[in-house]
This record gives sequence, C-alpha cells and structure tokens, in this order.
Amino acid sequence: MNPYVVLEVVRDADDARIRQAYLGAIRQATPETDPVRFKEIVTAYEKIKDGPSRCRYELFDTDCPGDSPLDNFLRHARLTVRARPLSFEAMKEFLRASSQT
Amino acid sequence: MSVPSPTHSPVSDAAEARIRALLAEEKWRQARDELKPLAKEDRPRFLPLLIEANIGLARKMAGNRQTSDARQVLNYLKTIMPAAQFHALELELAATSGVSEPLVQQQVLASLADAQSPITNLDRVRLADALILSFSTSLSGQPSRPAEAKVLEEMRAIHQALEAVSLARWPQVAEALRPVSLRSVFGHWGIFVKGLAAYHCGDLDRAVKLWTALPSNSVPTKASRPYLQLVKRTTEPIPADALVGIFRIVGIAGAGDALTRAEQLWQKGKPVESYRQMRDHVASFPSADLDWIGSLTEFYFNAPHGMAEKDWRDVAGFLYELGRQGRLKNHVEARLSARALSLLGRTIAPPEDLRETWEDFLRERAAAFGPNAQFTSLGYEWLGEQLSQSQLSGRFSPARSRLLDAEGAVTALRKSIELDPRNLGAHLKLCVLYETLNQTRERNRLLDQMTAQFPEEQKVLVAAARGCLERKALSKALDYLTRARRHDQLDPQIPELTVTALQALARDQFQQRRSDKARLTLARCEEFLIDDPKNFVRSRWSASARLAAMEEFWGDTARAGELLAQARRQTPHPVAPLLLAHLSYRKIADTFDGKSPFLADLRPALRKGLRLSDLSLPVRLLEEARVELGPHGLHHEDKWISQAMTGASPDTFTRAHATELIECAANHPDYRKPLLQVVKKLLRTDPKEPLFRLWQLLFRPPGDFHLLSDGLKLEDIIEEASRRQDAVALRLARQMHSELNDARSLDPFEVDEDDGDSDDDDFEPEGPVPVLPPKTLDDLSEVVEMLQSAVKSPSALREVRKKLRGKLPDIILDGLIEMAKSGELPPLPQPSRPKPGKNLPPIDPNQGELF
Repeated sequence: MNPYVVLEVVRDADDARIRQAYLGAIRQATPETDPVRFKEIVTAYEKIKDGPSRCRYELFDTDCPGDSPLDNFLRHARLTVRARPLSFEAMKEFLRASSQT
Repeated sequence: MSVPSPTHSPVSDAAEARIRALLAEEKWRQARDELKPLAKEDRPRFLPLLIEANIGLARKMAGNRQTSDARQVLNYLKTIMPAAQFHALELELAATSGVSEPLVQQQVLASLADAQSPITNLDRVRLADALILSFSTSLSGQPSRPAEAKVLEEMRAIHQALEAVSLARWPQVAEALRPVSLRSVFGHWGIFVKGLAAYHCGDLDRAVKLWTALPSNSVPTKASRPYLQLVKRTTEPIPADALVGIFRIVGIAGAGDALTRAEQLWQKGKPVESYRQMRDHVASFPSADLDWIGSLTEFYFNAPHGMAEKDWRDVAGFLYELGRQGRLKNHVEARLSARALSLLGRTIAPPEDLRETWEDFLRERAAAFGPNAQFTSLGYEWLGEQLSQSQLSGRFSPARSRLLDAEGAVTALRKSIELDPRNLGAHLKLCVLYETLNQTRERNRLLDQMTAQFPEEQKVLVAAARGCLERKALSKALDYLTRARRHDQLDPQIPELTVTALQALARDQFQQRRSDKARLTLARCEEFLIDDPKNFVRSRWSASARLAAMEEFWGDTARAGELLAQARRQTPHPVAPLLLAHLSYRKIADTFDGKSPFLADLRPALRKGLRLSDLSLPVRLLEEARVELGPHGLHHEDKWISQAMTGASPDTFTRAHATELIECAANHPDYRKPLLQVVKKLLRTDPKEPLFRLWQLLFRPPGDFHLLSDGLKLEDIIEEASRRQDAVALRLARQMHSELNDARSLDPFEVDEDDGDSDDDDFEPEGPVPVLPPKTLDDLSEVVEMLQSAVKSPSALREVRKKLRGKLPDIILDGLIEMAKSGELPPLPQPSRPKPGKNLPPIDPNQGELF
C-alpha cells in the first residue's frame, strides 16, 4: 500500500514527521499484537524514511498494492476507515442507508 | 377427483413465484398491483407479500422525497399492518424523508416506555431503531412519565455517543453510554457504538466480539456488517450488501458501480478494459492524491510489472496509444504512463526511445512537484545504468561488451553526478562503465575524485583498490583495502582482493630476491584464508599451490615440494592444486610451451580417470588463467582437460554439477564435443530435461540452424520448463527464442524452413561455439559493409568469409556473398521489436507468446 497512507502522513512530510508517525504506528501495532500491520508499517517506513528513499520510491517502486482493483480498494478502506471515523452527518446517512438494506 | 385448494393451485404458485421475483427486483408498484386481487382470494398467503410490496413502495417514495405519495401508501398500510410495526415504519419513513413528525415520535416513545405494551420484541427493536434514526430534535421537552423520560435519555445518550465517535473522543463515548444498560431498548445500539470505538482504537477482537453479539435484523447489525468485512482479512468474496455498505463508509456510493464493473473486468483478465472503466466513469481518476482513487491509480500503474508479458504489453500498448493520440486524461496519467512505459520497456526499448520517455517522466514530475535535483539525479543514474546494459545479454552470445548506448550512458551518468555530486551510485556506475569501455584514464581520474569526495565509503575504497591493483600500485591498494575492511568486515570482496594484492606483492618481492620478505608478506594472507575448496583465491590449498610455484621458480625447490604436498592435503580435489601450481608457474616464468616442473605429476593425475563432478574447478582455473596467458596460451591444458572430460566417469554427477561444468566450459570450442557427450548421457536418463535439451541445441556445429524447427523445439522446451517450474531453463529458452525471432526478422531471405528433420544426436560438433545470427541492425550493417568493401577482390572476400564463418548461419552467409557478387545486397530490414515511449508501435494482441 501507499506508504504515506499507511503511516498517515502527507506527501511533503519531512523525515522527522515520518519517523514520528512510524514510531506512533508501531507502538499501536507491535509484532505481537498485530504482526501483519507491523510488517506493513515497517515496509512503508523503509520506503519513505528519508529523501533518497522517497525519491527511489517515486522513481522505481513497482510493488502492486493489491491483487485486484477491489482488493486494493478494500486494503485502502481498511487503513483509512479505521484511522478516520465518519463525520456525524455521514454517520447518520450511513445508518439510515443501512436500515434500508 | 378432488379440487385443489386455492393455496395449492398451480396458478397461485406461479403467481407467488412471479411476485417474489418482482419483489426481489424491487418492482414494488407492479408487485402491489398484482397482489391486491390475490390477497383478497388468499389472505394468509398473500397479505405478508402485499405488506412487503407496500413498505418497499413507501420507502422508495420517502427516499425520493415524494412525501404525500408515501403518506397515501402509509394510510393504506395502516389498515393492513400490525400497529407496532406500522408505528416503526411511519417513524422510519418520517426520518428518511426528512420530515420530523413529533406526534409519531411521541407515540413510539410511549410504546417503548410502556412495559405492558403488547408489541413483540422484534417490533420493540424496530421501534427503537426508528427512534434513533430519526435523530429527532423535536422531542426536546421533558415527558410527563418517568419511563418515557428514561427512554428519551437513553436515546440522547446513543446520539451523543455516536457524535463522540465521529469526533474520535473516546472517553466521551464511554461516558455518554453510561445511562444505556444492556437490558435497555437501546442496548443493541450501545453494543454497536462500543464496537465502533473499539474498532477505531485498534482493538479489533473486541469490536468483532461486540458486533457479532448484536440481535439479528436490527439496524446496528446491518450497519456493523461492512465494518466486520473490513476487519476480516479473508480472500472470500464480500456479500454485495456489505460491499455497498463499505462504499458508503468510504463515501464513494456513486463510484461503487464503476469499481464493481472494473473488478469484474479485471477478474476476466481484461486489465485494459478495467482501467478504462475507472478512467471513463470516475472523473478524478487517475489521481496522485492519498485517497482511494490515488491508491487505485497506483494499483493500475504498478500491476503491469507483475503481469505476464502479453498482458503488460497490452497495457503498455494502450497507454502508448493514449499518448500518441494526445488523449491522456491529465498530468498524472501522462507522468505515470511515461514511468510505466520506461520501466516496463527498459529491456526491449531502443535507447533513444527509452531516454525520451524517461525524460518525459522526469519533466512531468518536475512540473507537478517542482524541481528536485536529487530526484532527477537518481533518474539519470537509472537511465545511465539502462543504457550501459549489454546489448547481447545471452549467456552464450558473443560480443557481450557491446553496450546499448555507451555514449548516452556516460552522458546520463555525468549529468546525474552534475545534478547531485553526492550521488555515490552514479559515481560507482560511471566507474564500472569506464572500466567496461576500457577508458582507463577517465576511470582513474574519476576514482581519484571519488576517494577525495567519499574518503570513508567502503564501495569507493574497494573500487579504488581494484584500480590500484590493475596499476600495480599494490601498497596503495592494500591501504584502501585496510580502510574498507574497517567499514565492512563481511564484504567477501575485501579479503579476496587483499589476498590477491598480497600475493602480487610477494611475487614482486621474490622477483627482487627478497625471498624472506616475500614469505612474510604471504604469511599476512593467513588471516584471510578459508577452508572452502571451491574458492581458488582464498582457500588454503590455492594459497599453498601459488606459493609452491613461487618457491619453485625463485626460492627453495624442496620447500616448493612440501608446499605442494600440503596443498594436496588441504583439498580433496585430485588435480586442482597441481593445475594451479602449474598455471602459476607458467605465469611467473612467462612460458609459452606449456611446460612446468609440476607437469610430471599433473599429466598422470589427469589421465588417472577423473569424475565429471571434479572437472568444473579445473575448467574455472583455466578460464581464470586465460585472461593473463591469452586465448592460445592454454592450448595444451585445454586438450588435456578435454581428454579428461571424455574419459570421465559420471559417478555422483548431478544436474547441479552438469550446470556448473557446462556454464564454465560452454564458451570454449575444445570442450564442446565432450560436453555434448555429457549432455547425451544425461538425456538418456531424462529425455525431456529442458536445460540439457537447450544445451544440445547450443552445442551443435555452426551454421546448423533451422529457424522453424529450432523454434518449435524451443517452444516445446519452454513448455516443459514451465511444467517443471525450471526457472533457469525457462529464462534461457525464452532468450534463445527471442534471439531466433530476431534472426527471423533480420533474415534477408525467406529461408526454406526445416528442410529435413535434423537429428541432433548424430552430430559430432567441431569448431567454435555456434552462435545465432546477428541480432541488431548494426550487426547486419557491418556484415553488409564488409561484403561491399571486399567484393572486388576474391582474396578479400575469402578473408571476409573466413572471418564471418561461425558468426552467421552458412546459408545466410553464402547467400549474402552471392548477392554481394551480383551487386544485389538486400536493403537493410527495419528492426521489428516494439518500443516504449512515443514511438512504441501498437501491440498486436494476436502476437501470442513470442517476444
């Protein structure tokens, strides 16, 4: 997955901000509690930890984030939905729509 | 004969089936109209369906803000539905249509608060859900009855808790839920909200535990389904309603259809159509944002790198066509297309196209994010690396030194260094390139610059040491190696180069009659020596054998004998120490007659009968010595090893041994005949073995080429290698197949394909290793030019024929000579390989598996 999304940092984040996000993320997902997420975080950090790494990521990274478009979407959703709750208005809409199903 | 009752009549069964189908298709009005008369005839059977159809219709109308129409349907429903169920529906629709109906809400509140109310538990849940979903602000007054006040307080608590979840204020969530007990009518909402909080806080197990405890058919249960799917990391298909829920959570309800269709096309193996689906139906796709569209963009542009060649060529062809026709949707598509085309086409693109496409990418990137010297420097480093690749990269191909675009590579790497003088990779690559191009002066100048700029960089120190070794500046080389070793104790190059430098230094000292000092120098090697018998630089036996040769020539012959005996004890190999001592002696003595004092022992040892598995090390020793003694300096040794190979026993000979031996020996003509015998022996036990069949093709005599039959054989080998998952054979077979295709495209004649089934097993090969016809336009141009300049003189023509013999199939060479004589040399054909970038021709989807 896109390392910026995994670490929840903006594209122009500096080394310090990225490291801070990385440390925060691995504190939440340790190898014992969530090994899959831990691996994902470490891989993401390796890709963007400093200037040359970020350049190499943008130039040459060919890791495919998912097995299919839907798989990619779900991976993205798993990361972002958990990280950001719905706004209250969006929550109301979602609950009302859920009642219709 | 009895008359069937109405409930079991085939007519009513068919009607019910038809109506259920209409309901499934959400054709509520049509279902309702058909149900009305049926419900009169058979009320118990059709009334529930009539209610369902009317509820669906009312919900649809309320959703479309057709409030008065919905009200009419509700009025009708009131006459046919149980009261509690009706209240819940009424409230739900009031909430859906955005109309607050305080009266209805008050009634529901009263029903929920009344413990004696006759409504079922299911209806209570339904009413509670409807009350929560109303998010009512009209129930602000304080109800007169305490029970109603309690229900109202709990409803508000749920609303507050949901709002706290939205704001990620987790302590407030728990605080807000305090009044809601598990036995409350809103207990299931409390569980749902707690699950949400656990989910967002990362406690997924707790979230799952809470959500799976919810009562079925309640709104929280339905709302938790998409979240549960997000928690699960399974590959099982997600139910459609949960998927729609996920689309809603992510806020892409509108684009969900396009994504679903794109997924279907992808699963059908149509990546281009899948991409087009997204491109045509999602306005902001492709995008570089960090949202789901950006993520999907990354997916589509990275996925081709893992696809089968035919598929990525389809994608590349589509992207190329978009660019050629000026139909790129936005700058993101332009940038990522150029990147993908360059990375995908790097092995097949002509250098000028690769350069152009890659520079397009770098320009687009600079336009989007501003100039970045480090980024562009790395970009040019990559370009330099690609352009300095060998044009003929086959393991068995000749002229490996010809680079794709040497000049362009030097320019790109220099530009990379200019843009970012701290770019170490570009420096190292330029250094290697100069070395390959034999531009020693430039290489040395660059090395001096590098050692000044990166004085403590291990790779630079190793490169500088290598350069010093070549220049015979041995003390300086040792100094660099000592410094390099301080930075990296594990790099095997460092001890290897150190041993080489110390042995060269000792040799100089022996030459200067400083034997004791030379022995002391060689003693310094000790700490770098290892027990690996196959390593003939650092192994103990090889050090002893080399020292034996030096002692024999310059020092003490008795000591030489002892050292050789020691070397033979240090390795189980029967001839390697003798051969190495012999070759070292020849290098020291600079003899061309192939003689040394070690021959007396070496020849009998070679004649004694070696095993095939013992032969790869001597062959490697000869290849190493060939560099210093020249191609003809080892004529005798090659003959002896070839004879040993012919008579060798295949005991304990494995595929790995064969692979090692053949890879070492394949390029030398003296070994082809015995190697072919080895291959035949191995094929007797496994006639379909793909790698050995490939070698059988390779070891045939020069000129024995049949484009069609060889192509078929190679296709069969590719199939077998795929079946056996033999990656080495597969790679080599595909490479040969590609070379054969190139030969076809360059064939100036229509060669009569397969004019007889050649039985490879009957061939006794002679002469140099067979090679495929020239693969590039430049190669053929050279041939034509040579023929044109030689055609006036028969002797010159004979010379050219001699020179080209073995480099071209005889049939092609003879034809070209005849045409040169008659002044009808064919015009040069255009190369047929596809190019990425602006000049990439469209890909023919019918091209099949061929490159």
